[in-house]
Amino acid sequence: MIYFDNAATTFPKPACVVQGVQRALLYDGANPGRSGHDLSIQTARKIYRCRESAAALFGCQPEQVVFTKNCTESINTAIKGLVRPGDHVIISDLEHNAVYRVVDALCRQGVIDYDIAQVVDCDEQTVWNFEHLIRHNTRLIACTQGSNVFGYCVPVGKIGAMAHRRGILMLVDAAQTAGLLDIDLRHLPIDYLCLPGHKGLYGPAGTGILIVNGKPIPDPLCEGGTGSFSMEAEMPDFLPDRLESGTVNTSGIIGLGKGIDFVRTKTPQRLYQAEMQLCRRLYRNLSAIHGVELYSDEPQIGKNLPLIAFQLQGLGSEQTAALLNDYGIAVRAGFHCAALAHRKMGTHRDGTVRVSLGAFNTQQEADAFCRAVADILRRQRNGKKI
Amino acid sequence: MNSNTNTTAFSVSSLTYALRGQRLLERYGYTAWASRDHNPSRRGCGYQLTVKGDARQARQLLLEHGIRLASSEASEGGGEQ
Repeated sequence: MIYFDNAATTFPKPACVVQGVQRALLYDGANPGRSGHDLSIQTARKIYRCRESAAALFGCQPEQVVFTKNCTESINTAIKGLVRPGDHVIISDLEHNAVYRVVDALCRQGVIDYDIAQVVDCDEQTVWNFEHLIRHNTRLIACTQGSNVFGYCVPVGKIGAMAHRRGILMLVDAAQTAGLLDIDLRHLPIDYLCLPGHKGLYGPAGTGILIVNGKPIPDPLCEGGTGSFSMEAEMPDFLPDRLESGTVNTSGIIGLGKGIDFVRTKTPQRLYQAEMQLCRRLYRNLSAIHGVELYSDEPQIGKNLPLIAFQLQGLGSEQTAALLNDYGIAVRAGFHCAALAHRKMGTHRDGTVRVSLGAFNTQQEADAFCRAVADILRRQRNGKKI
Repeated sequence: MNSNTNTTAFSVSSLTYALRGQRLLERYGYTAWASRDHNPSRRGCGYQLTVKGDARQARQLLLEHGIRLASSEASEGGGEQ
């Protein structure tokens, strides 16, 4: 199989991740941060090791790293834990439903109001599009760093700087960028960074991170046991305990730690460069095939992510993905849980097909993909049953 | 490396802080370890960070680096707590 669905989840996982999970299940079986016996402390050290690795990658302290089950939970925790009745929130028109549905639900419940800022080619204009929507009660800007559908990068650093000048909190959804783009919280004006563990950080599914890089600490989405101050009715007021109730996904987090180590060894810069180089080759070869309609720009470092949105003439996106599956190629079709992005680009009727690359994809796979696309279109034109 | 063999146990707010404190003190040449606090406060379960050596200096280091301490208890002669 050729796996080009890395924006959904990266696959395969590095061998060190597989080994890490296996070792965790075999040898680190105790509940970390609950008991005092050796196995519990040993397991807790492994969990802490993952916090350290994430902190080193993103430029923060280990206790700022809160483990969640995915990026969606990180976003929900931050947004719902921060906003108060009467607040106003601004999001971008490229948001995933993980942001869009959260603010829309809060709006329908009468808790907040929100506006959607347009992302355009010019960064300064994009920042202005956010700034002119600010109201006296705007509390938060929640913005993706890169579109999961079209691969456009959003200048979250510039938007965050503007937000901080105006006293507004900045949340970034780094679902598609963590592990690829340089995200250093010592220099970037980001208060809440939401990350999936299972995409560009190469951890197992069921892992995510929320990095709380500013004040206030969001109220918990979920209360319960933390292994600390157990006789008190209220959740602890310190991180990560305040936002981490219940037993964590021990083997998943230990695997995630190994995934982050993999990224740190390869470096996000080198992973990004390599995937973008492959993506450019794919883009150029696809654009030379008659009948391919491309919805992404030619991949440019700093402007785009290594993914391409396209359709094939005369075929729906789902049909195209099913045909590619017959060739042993895994891509994602449809709307990618991103209603706003598809409306923006006018692809809200048929959706698009998305090719998204990862660390283990090769030039041979890219070329085989283009041959399969050309073959599908040729058969379509010749009226052969496909 | 600190040659003082006294041990001091600092109660910390969470195991995460205990482990971070351990790493920090080890970087400064201390022998330190995180463990369960067997004499928890009225607030409930907790963890402690035990350090061999100059407790005052260790405490200052921990505070300077944002490690939240609840209390400290010293014992002499190198015995573990």
